[in-house]
Amino acid sequence: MKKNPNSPWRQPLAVIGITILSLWILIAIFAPLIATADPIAQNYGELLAPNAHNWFGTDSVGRDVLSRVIYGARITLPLSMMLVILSMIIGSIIGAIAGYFGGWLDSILMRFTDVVLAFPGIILAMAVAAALGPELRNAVFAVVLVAWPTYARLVRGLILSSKNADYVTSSRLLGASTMRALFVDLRPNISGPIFVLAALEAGNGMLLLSGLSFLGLGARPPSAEWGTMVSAGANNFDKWWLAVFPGLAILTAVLAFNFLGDALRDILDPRTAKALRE
Amino acid sequence: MIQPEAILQLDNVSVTYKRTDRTRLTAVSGVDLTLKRGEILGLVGESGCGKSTLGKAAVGILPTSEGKITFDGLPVIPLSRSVRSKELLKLQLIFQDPYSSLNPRRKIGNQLIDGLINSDVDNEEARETSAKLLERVGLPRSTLSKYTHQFSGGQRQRIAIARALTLQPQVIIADEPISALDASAQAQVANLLVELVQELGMSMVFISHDLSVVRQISDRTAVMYLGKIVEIAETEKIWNDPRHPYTKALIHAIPRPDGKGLIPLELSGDVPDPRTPPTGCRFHPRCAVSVAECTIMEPKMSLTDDRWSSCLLNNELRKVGS
Amino acid sequence: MTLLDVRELSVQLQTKSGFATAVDRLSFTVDQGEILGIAGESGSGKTMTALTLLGLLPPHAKVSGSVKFNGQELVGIPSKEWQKIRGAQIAMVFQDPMTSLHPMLSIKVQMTEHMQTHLGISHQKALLEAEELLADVRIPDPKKALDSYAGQFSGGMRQRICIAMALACKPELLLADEPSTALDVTVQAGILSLLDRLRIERQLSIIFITHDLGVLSAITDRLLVLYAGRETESGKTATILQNPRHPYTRGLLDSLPQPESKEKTLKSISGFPPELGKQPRGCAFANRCSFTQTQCRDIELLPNFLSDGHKFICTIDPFDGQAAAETLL
Repeated sequence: MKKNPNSPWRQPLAVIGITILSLWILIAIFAPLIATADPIAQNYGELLAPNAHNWFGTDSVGRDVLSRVIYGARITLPLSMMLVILSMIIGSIIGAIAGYFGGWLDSILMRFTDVVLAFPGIILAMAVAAALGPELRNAVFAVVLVAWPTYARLVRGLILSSKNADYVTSSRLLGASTMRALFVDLRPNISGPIFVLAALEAGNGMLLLSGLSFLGLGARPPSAEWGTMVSAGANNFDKWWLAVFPGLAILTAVLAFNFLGDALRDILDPRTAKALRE
Repeated sequence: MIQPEAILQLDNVSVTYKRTDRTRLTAVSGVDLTLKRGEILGLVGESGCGKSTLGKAAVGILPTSEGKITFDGLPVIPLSRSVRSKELLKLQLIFQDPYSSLNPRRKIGNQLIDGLINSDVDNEEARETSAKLLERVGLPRSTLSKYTHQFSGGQRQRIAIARALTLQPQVIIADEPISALDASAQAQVANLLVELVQELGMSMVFISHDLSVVRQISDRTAVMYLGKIVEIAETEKIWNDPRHPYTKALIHAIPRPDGKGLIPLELSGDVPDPRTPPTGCRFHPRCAVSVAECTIMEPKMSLTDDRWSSCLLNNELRKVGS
Repeated sequence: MTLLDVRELSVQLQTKSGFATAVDRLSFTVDQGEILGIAGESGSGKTMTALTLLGLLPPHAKVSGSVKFNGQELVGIPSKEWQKIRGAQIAMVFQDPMTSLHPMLSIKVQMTEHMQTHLGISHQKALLEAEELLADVRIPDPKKALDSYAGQFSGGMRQRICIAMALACKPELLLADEPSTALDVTVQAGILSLLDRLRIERQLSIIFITHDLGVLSAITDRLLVLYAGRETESGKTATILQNPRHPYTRGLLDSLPQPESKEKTLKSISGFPPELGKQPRGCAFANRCSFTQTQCRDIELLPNFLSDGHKFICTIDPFDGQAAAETLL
């Protein structure tokens, strides 16, 4: 196997990130096989500290925390991915339209983007989720609403800077319409930065989603969503296992996305990639 | 009136930029220029004279604010969102910076076939044509599957030339094509352009600030100053007998490697701000022979002995001497 | 009087594959009030030589040989010593005036700070000095210029300011690395006149580095032609340009545009200079030279000394007796 200095394996953070994410994905897939108990079954004694049967203890209604954390992956991970994909698509389309057409359309869209960005993410998400009613689906919608502007800005910026690049101009001189020139020339230039952004934003989105659930605006009991679990733990602070384990789950997953995003950015940005190689 | 032997003609062309601070900058002002079939026309001038702007306008990258440009009898329409007309595809430009005129993220082969694919040539044939063009510019076929970062500046410029040739253009505007290259590559790329132009029966406008190279390769030379053309004539005539004071200053400023230790004459003053050009003749503040009229009257280009120059004194001389 | 005496200077730089020789046993002198030109393409070692004279080589570079400035040995001195010399006794002007001047500090600040540090004079005195310097380099309205910023000046003006700053501490030696290459030719002429005048007025020695033979012809007294880190030819500028003996020098002259010839194409030396660290044994130019024979690649090359200080290093000496008449403009 050739030694590729750009390989993600060379970056310890990326390795850690990928490993953690893979583990969580596996856990999510094989949840029924791994979990020691039914996550919503109230089978055990209430508020038991971690013990031989319940490695992570039990919660206020006797459910096994370990199993709930495991099953929680099945909620949080797919939803976070979906959130990222939706915001990416919506943001990219809006950004592309603004960048391509320019003029007043660009101004309007960008003002709109600015307005959304002016609000702190969690506040806006809270407002939307509360208005729509506390349900996981609405929480996801709220987070998408908050997250799309970052993608829009990125895509618009990339299009604006490339629109006047010499290589796009020469494509047009050779008979391509602006649309085609941008599409053909831009696609390879955009995919890198967008995926870096997606990886970094995934962590953010997950945090927002869990945050909303923590505040009671997202997942509802008996759903084993990590945010809701931390919320329950916050009320019973001396029963530390209630908040700590789901909190660690969120922490590790978000960190993993961030490591991955950072490493991707280092690899894909030609300047830092060069510095890394030396 | 379109001259019959002209393949590219610019009539009273002006190009104005609207700046972000709402001011207007007229980079090119009232230029008349003709490129004859089969000739290499050198366009020289120093920084800020507008030669690059003129080159880009000639090809349609920049819109003109006044005047018209005609290519082989047809009007040159600036690039817009839609596809370029088939005829205008025969008018191509080579950019100055070989590092930004090719997309670093696409394979070279894919970029070379762009023009042909747009003209509905099939993929196989397009690749074959591109491979042959690469060979013609001195690069191997394997270049098709590589990326630009694997090549030097001179090689990239040759790839850019090959790309411009895919649609068999009749006119090439070369905008400072060798300025960004190192010494050895400069001669090689300049020679390549000359050979191709002669071999393929094209015509070329060679824009450069390097007067010596222009002297070697162009048939006629046009000299620009602050957005205007001050003199056009056969290259040798311009060098041996420059008529316009600016041309004279330019030529005398070039140091010669003859070991005689002579420091060339400097031209006093600075190039004025193009937003507020001097009244009358734009060169008068720095001109050694200007007279009172030069501050009021803007000289027109006058044709004498098959050479154009715009200096009131020249016109006067002509009037008296003829 | 000899101001700078360089003997057998070698500079090796660290690369991924070990040390590479950037400058190979270079020897030359610069007298007081003299302008020495160093000619060479990229990779010839010209910039490394200049950096050696300022103590600005990368920390892992290996330097051997001797560089005596005013009798003081500069090779191996600690950086504290360099601070006394750099900017004060040996100054430099770079190619790109846009990046040599700080865009955010006023010209006044940039010039006075420098002077106050090295000369220990008061701010008031430094201001007066600065104004005088700017007037000396023909900046119009020096008082106003001091309060202005780099971005407000044209390229030529900026370069003049850089020259003024370089001369602020009255150095004896000025290094100029392609100072006029980025400027328009009419502006270049002004810079050359300026440097020549300053040389006379201040008894300043200048090392002028450029690949432009026309510029070297105009302003330098003597010339040193470098190729791949080695000296190929040196001597009085007039002699070298009128009677070049090394094939590389001839090649450089021939590759200048030849308007007398009817041909449109430019001649050029085929091939490329060797990469750093890949200089061959024997003559570094052998693989591009039209006169190469087997001995060029093997033996230790000996210099040929001609009259008048003209020296070149070539075992074949193909132009013996031939003046460069046909290659002159």
